[in-house]
Amino acid sequence: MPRAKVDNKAKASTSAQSDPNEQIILSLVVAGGTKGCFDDDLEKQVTNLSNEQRVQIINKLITKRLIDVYNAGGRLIYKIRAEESENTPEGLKGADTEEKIVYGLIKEAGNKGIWMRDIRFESKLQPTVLNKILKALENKKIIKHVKSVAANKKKVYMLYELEPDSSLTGGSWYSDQDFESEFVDVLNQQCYRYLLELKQKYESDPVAVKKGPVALYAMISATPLMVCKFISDLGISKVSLSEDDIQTILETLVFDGKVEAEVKPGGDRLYRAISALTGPAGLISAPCGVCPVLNNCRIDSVAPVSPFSCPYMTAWGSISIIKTDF
Amino acid sequence: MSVRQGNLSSLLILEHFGEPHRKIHDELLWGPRTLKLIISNTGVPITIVKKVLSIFIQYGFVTFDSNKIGIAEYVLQPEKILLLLRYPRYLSLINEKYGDSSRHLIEVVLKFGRLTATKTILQAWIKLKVVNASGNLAKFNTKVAGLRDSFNELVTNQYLVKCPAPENDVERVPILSVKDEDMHKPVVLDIQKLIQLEKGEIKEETIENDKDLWRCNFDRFHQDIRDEIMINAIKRRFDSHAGKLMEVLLKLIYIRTDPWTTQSNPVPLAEIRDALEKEKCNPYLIQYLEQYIKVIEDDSCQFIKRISEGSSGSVYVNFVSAFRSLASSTIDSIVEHRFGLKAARIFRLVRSKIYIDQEQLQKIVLIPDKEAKQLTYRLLQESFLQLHELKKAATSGGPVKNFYLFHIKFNQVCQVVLDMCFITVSNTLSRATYEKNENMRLIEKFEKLTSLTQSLRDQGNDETYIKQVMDELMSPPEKSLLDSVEGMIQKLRFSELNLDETLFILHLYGYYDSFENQEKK
Repeated sequence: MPRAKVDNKAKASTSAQSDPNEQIILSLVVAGGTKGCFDDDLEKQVTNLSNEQRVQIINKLITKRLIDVYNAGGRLIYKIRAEESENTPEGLKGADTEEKIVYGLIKEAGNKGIWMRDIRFESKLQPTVLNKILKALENKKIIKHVKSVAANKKKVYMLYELEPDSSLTGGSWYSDQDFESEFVDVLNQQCYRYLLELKQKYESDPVAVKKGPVALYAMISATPLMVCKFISDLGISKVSLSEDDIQTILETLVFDGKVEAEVKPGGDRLYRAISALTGPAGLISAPCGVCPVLNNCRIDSVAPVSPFSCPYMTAWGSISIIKTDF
Repeated sequence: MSVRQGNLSSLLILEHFGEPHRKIHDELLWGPRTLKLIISNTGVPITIVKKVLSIFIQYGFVTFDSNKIGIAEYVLQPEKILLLLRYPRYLSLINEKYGDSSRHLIEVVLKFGRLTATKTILQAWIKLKVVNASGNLAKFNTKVAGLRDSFNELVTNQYLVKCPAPENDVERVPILSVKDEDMHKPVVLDIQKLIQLEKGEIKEETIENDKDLWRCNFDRFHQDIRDEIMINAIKRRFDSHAGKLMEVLLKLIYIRTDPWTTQSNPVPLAEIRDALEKEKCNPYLIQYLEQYIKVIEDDSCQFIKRISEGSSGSVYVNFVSAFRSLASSTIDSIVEHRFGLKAARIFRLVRSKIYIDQEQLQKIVLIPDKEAKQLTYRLLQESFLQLHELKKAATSGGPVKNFYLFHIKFNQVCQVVLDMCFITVSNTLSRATYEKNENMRLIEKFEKLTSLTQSLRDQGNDETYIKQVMDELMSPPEKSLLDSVEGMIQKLRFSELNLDETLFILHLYGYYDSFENQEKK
């Protein structure tokens, strides 16, 4: 059941020319407020009109887009059309009611956008009709569609002037829909290089060392801002990266185990390069430690995977021992 | 105990002892057995079973206890068998600390399992003589006496302990006991008699007061290895000064704390300072002692904790959290090498967030979604990550969304890695044996040739002639094959030693973790 919608301003202009019965019915419907006015009540209150006359008047009002008619449990309800906001775009003025519904739904979704299927469910419009409306609105540059990074084929609609939310675009690390993994990797390396060089610089500096370990560790720690400045000076990024962007990169370094974060009172985070507590584990000094089929390995000369016929072990064993510092 | 560990210990027994030993070991793996059960289940003759059991008891691989009806039941101690892998480590440790002669003593005790002091000293002496064949006999007297002193030094430092002896002969199953104060009491040996014995002038039975057996105290060795690992970790993370501080701190701890508790008693700062000054450490360290303690305490490794600020404060070592950090670091390194750097990033992230869902995870790690998903599920498949499903109460109609959260059960991951270690050690062991057997002919030929050249040299032949003979008898391809086989075996042995370190850290973590859980109860 499509809902009829009416411009409130139109009401004032049209009501002046309408007959008194129309006025009476309209005022009763207005009195009903948001709850509306039942057809039965209307019949009781306006006794001077026959059923046919009343229906005629109501139809007239509906065509004038002053009221809406609803069906509630077999009874008819009339409601006054909600006031339309002042900032309705030019292209939508005098537009189709269906277009207005779709517009309203898209507007509600904000910068997160709304999926076409959700619009269809909400508006109860036919897919073909909806497609036409969406195309029309797009052509008028009232709305636009944005592809989400989360799901490649999912198109979401939002108002034309809105900036898509970062959950849709993925933030700085996405160009179009693609994750810039190389860019992120390079940034990751460069941030680490910066912290490492900072550490080496002060640790080899006798003046800095003389100030004691606490001062030294304060010197080799860096704030995201410092790293950010270094990265922008390097000029490897075409887009300007914010401090928050660099902080996310630094966090990945923390999870790489190369950097430790220290939280200062006040919530600021400081980062400094560290080395792991232990060297490479003993397990991986043997080829089995990194063997992908370890779980299928049987000590049995006829088994398909066995240490006797293992090509990894043969290749590994033929290279002589290089003394490593464990 | 896992199946893998059983396989490994079975292989170790086979390599070091022999087939019947392995059969009995495998039987005991199932649980405690009486002598009769062992015989009927394995079909090994009773004389051999008795012999094997007594050997196992001698090495501490098997203990016995009387069951309800007073018959002895034999119980396997699998963790003792795994220590066979660590024997070279013990020897190098003693060599570093006390020198050559002490190492020979320990070697003899390890070889025999348990032994009387006299026999140990004599055996070690024979070995020393063989090694230093050119050593002069003038040093003879001091040498045996020196060995006795070294022996007593090892006893007082608790590397050797007295074995418990039967209390009386009345019981059918002897009850073994030893008095605590006797455990580390030096032996009194008549040096004259020892020398006479060495020369063969008197029989061994004439030496009195030497019925006590001695064995290696593995806990003491482990304590040293543990300290070394902790000091090295601190050195890696900070600098050599911090390492020195840790070393001194650990030494001070043993004065007032049992070495195997979860956390030490606090050591006052002033005492650390005194000890550092006594050891004549770098004045830099003494000057910045408090700062060093602060830096180590603030670090994520959580080795030490400080009680109360200021110069009156004290410091204690938390072994549980220290070994948790060490085990995490070890496992991180395994994940990193096995699955790649990015998988390690995911692994660490899940560990720090405790519970995390796939989408959140992808947002933080900055890895392309597809790759991140692939790596996460690969880790899941190999049991490094666990999945926790959160089910919502079923609603009427509509799709129900369940949440899948990733998390890490650290102890389970440790077990996975331990199992990997067991497989790997088994593989290296069996591959080394296989290589040896495959090239047995070649190795034997080489050994024959070596003895031949030796005899030629003894006859006073020319070096160039000897070389010529060698080249004629051994073709270049044979030689290169021999070299590659040797290289392979050497490398396999080397990786066995490295593997043992991983085993050590993870086992110790397991020990501390269960200890802590008991304390909580």
